[in-house]
Amino acid sequence: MIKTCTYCKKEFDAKRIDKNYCSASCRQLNHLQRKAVEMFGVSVKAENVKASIDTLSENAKTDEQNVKTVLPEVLKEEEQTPAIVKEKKEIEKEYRNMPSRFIEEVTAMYKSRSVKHSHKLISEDKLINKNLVWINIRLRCLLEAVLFISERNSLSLGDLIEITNAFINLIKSEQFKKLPENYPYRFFVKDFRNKLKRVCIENSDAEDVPLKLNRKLKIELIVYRCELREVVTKIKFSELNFKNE
Amino acid sequence: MEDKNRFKTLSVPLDVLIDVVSIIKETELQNEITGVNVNRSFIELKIEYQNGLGYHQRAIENIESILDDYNHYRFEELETDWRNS
Repeated sequence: MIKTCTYCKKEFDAKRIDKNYCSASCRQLNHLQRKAVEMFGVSVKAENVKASIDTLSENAKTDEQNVKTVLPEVLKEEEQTPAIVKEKKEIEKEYRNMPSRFIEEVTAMYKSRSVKHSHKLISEDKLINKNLVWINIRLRCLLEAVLFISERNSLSLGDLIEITNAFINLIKSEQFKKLPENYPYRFFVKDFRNKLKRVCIENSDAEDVPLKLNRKLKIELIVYRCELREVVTKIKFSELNFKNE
Repeated sequence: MEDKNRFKTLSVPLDVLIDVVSIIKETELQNEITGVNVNRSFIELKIEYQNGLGYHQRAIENIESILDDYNHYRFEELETDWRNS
């Protein structure tokens, strides 16, 4: 049966009575044309609609491919920035220098004392100056020794007695007696000698003696050592005589 | 490929150990105690840090600054013998 295609208006041999299109393509194009009229209210050529749709489809495929291509990268980046890394970035932003409390205490004491006492170490009297230097050299040496041995596990009783005797001899010396009244370490030297004597007596039967300084005393010794470093040079214990010269 | 992780070995005196450990804990730096010197009261600490990572870098600088300050106040030189140093 010969019929005319609804879309292309060409004649074709229809196998069935209800067949209106010569091909599936014409049927599809006619469908698109009708849709275009419904949507835009104008009749456009179905080929143009199809071309536009094909373009849109191609673009859609490209977009889909782009999404497929980009998505793994985004996910990959997401995988690279898990919660812990984000947390670290926050820490990075918020990082503040953490000061040492020990250093802060040393610095605070050092600064407060240097204002009050450093100038007192220098006198215009040459004889007093000579005595000051003599004492300060020995005191610095003893402070270095005490700090050193306090950081060891223990020291022999003989070594402790040697250091204690050096303190005793220093206090007994004429130079010490002639020091000005405001000598900043006078009280400390006598007090520390007494502490060392006590440790020696308490450990008189022991071979090794632990000499641990508490935090406050250690800070005090470190500060005194720093003050003395500014006015006298370091001389070895073995090279010094702690009795009167 | 360049390895971004770096190592630093530091001698940390007992006096500032708590301060240094606080920084390590806070910044989650990987660390290992590689030595203990009981006669000098310090530990050898090996710290692993990520090169180029700002907060790691600042933490290391923070620790080194504390150790520098400590050494400045505490030592003139590393004594080995109280009589002859």
